[in-house]
Amino acid sequence: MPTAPGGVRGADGRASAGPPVRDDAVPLGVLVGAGVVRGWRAVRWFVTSMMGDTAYATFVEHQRREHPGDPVPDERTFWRERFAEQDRTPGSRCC
Amino acid sequence: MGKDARRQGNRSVQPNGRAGERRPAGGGEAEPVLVQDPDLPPTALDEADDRTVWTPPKVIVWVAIALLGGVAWTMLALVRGETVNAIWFVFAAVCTYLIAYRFYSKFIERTILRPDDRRATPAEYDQNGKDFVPTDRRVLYGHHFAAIAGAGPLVGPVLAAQMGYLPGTLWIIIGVILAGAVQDYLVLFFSMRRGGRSLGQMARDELGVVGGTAAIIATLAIMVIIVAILALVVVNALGESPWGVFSVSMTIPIALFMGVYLRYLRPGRITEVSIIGFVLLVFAIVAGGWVAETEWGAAVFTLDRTVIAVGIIVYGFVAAILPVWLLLAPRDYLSTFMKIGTIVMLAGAIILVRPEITVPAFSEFAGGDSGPVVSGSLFPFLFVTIACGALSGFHALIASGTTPKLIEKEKQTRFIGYGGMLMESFVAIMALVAAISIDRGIYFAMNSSGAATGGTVEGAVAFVNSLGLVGVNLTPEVLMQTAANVGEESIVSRTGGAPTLALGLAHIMQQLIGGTALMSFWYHFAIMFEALFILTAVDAGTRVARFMLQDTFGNINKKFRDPDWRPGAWICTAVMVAAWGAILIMGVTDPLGGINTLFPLFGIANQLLAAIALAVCMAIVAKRGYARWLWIVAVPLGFAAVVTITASMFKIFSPVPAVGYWAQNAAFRNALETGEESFGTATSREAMEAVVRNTTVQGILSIVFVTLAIIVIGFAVWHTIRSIRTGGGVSSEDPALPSRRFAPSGLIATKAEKDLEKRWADVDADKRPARTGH
Repeated sequence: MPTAPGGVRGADGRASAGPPVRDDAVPLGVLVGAGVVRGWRAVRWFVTSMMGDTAYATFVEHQRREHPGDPVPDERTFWRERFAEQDRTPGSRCC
Repeated sequence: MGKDARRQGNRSVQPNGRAGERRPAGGGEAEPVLVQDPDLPPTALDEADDRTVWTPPKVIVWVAIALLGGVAWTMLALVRGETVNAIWFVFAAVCTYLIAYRFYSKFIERTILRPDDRRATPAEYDQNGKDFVPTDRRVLYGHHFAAIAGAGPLVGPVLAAQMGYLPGTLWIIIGVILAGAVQDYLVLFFSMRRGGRSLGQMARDELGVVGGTAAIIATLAIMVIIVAILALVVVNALGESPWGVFSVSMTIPIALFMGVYLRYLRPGRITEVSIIGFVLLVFAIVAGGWVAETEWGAAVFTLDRTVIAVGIIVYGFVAAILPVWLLLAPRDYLSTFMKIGTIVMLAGAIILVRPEITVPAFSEFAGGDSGPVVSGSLFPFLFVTIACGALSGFHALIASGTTPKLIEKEKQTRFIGYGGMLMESFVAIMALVAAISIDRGIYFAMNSSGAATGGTVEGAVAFVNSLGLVGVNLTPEVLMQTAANVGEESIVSRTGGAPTLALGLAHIMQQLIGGTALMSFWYHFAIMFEALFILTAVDAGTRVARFMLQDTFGNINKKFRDPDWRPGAWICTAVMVAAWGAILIMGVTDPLGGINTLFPLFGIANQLLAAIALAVCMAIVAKRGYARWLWIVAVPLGFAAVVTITASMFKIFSPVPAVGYWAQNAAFRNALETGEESFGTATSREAMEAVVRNTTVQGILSIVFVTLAIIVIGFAVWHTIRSIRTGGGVSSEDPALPSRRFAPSGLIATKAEKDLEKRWADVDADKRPARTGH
């Protein structure tokens, strides 16, 4: 599952891509490496959230929390229903 | 809780004086009392924490921004050198945006909107995990920007560059901070307070049945004209261009492949399929160059503009009745991907290359109404030529559509609504810079209509040199060399803005990567990405218009309301496609040139929609009882109303044939009656009849638009005055519910916000709120 951007804790508190602990004993290469990993995770998180890759995971989390007993559709069915809904209620794109 | 009843019920009837709500003396906005869950940390910052403490470093930073902006404006507006560097456009724009965002939008927040983070947003109280989801503000910003920005801000500034760079720059920057961004912010906020209701529904709630109906009809008519003119831009960019036609038509199989991939192979892997699609797209652009060089390729893909127009009409119909997953959704992903990528690339290139601009601040055409690109005087036509980027009514449809349903906290509306529009304005500035970085002679040769240039290199050279432009001496060699560089047969009379922008972008990018050898690639890359936006807008616009029409027909026959009744959808799609298709064909075959006569109608339509949106906002602000701050809305509304109504009056009543549709109509009718065989740029009686027909349609459209807008504005003013007299009115907002979550409001969290976020992080897992992005 995609994670929150580097260093910023998500509202659910998981600091999954938390900032690397600064320690003078750590060699520079490791620090740079950790920075690159954090940056990559942040970009990945932003792009996948914006493009909508995470929509199914969001929906599953919502269902588990709000309607724990209800069956959760599989990803394929979820996307079919989502597109069918878009067919019924078209949204605008701008000029 | 009755959540569904609240979402679907008639929200215009809200109980007045509910329990837990105090009404202030003199009416106006009720101050809700929200009881917070004592087990949770605060859902909003204390007022004391939210106030800015003006520490010396902060003061220094803002003074520095102001000084840099001041220097940049001085360089642009006052210093009259031979050239001006493009970097000053970037500094002037960015510094002004920062100051406006920090101070003016904050002022609007404090005076008329007063968001309350203790209140739950629709994304929270109506959360369904699908279209109502609290979304991270940074993600939503990208989302909202991708939905509002399209080809509009890329085209208008290019056409307006005929008046010189300063009028356009001033209007784009000042217009956005006082009008465009204000409209987007207000509409987003008011729609959010109403569960994400659409502009049309809000108009009906605030202005009554007549005003609301006029607003909906105007929206539908405006949608038709906007789709038609965007399609005309694509047709003009692809006409006689085998390379462009090949690579743009390849987007259809690429999108179909992506659709199938997402449905049957790997559902939900949107980023993955977008990257694959992007690689295929770049390959299609390169392959376009090879195909256009072969004999069969040139023969098959060199198409007449009328043929391309018919192709787009057929495509528009088929695309709008195909299921979303097959064509629209994948192309939309591709277009979002390209949009963000290309804009970041162009911004980076302008900053790195810093081209010198030789265009004068005010050109020879700034003072008159005889400009060959778009006719009409600076006032009001500059303000309608540049709509998107400064003030775009279309955004009101997005800001009252998907975005308000995804807002996590009320205070984030400022960053997303106001800030999102600032970014679009920046795109418009970059388009302007790209357009003015090319040689002025080439600019006029490309943007003067075929009727003026005859479509030939010699004709264009003769015409441009006869314009009497200072410092311009166009030669046939320059035109032919430029055409060869970008891989086109000719660049004469490639009107519509897109080819000029593409040439500007290619001109800047080749200085950064690849030199002239890659110029043709960059040119077709730009054409492709504009065509991609526009085709998505054509498809989506047709669907929305069809949906509105189905709703209207539903009043006569209930069956039309059923979205699953295919014949109904097909009939309505056909009606809408026929409507914009007719205008498109009219523009393509217009003996007077097409885009130069039709583009003002596009701007007028878009600005009238803005006037309607602002009018609805003004009525709401008055109802909330903030008469003292009404000018925040009234000033941009007044300006938009004056501009569009004046422009419409010019179009209807001007005695100058190049400006007034009816004057042109009368001139040609007269010539026909006296039995002339040719008149002006029309060389036959059929062409003259076409002009009479076209100007009649354009004239009628002008009258319809302006009448509808005056009705809506009139109702809004009447309701506003009534509210001011009574000190406010009954709010049509959804009831206030307490929030159970917290998130920072701006791009970067403040110290106080970070501290509060930390407290939320320690809350038990089962009490933590759910959100997207996990």
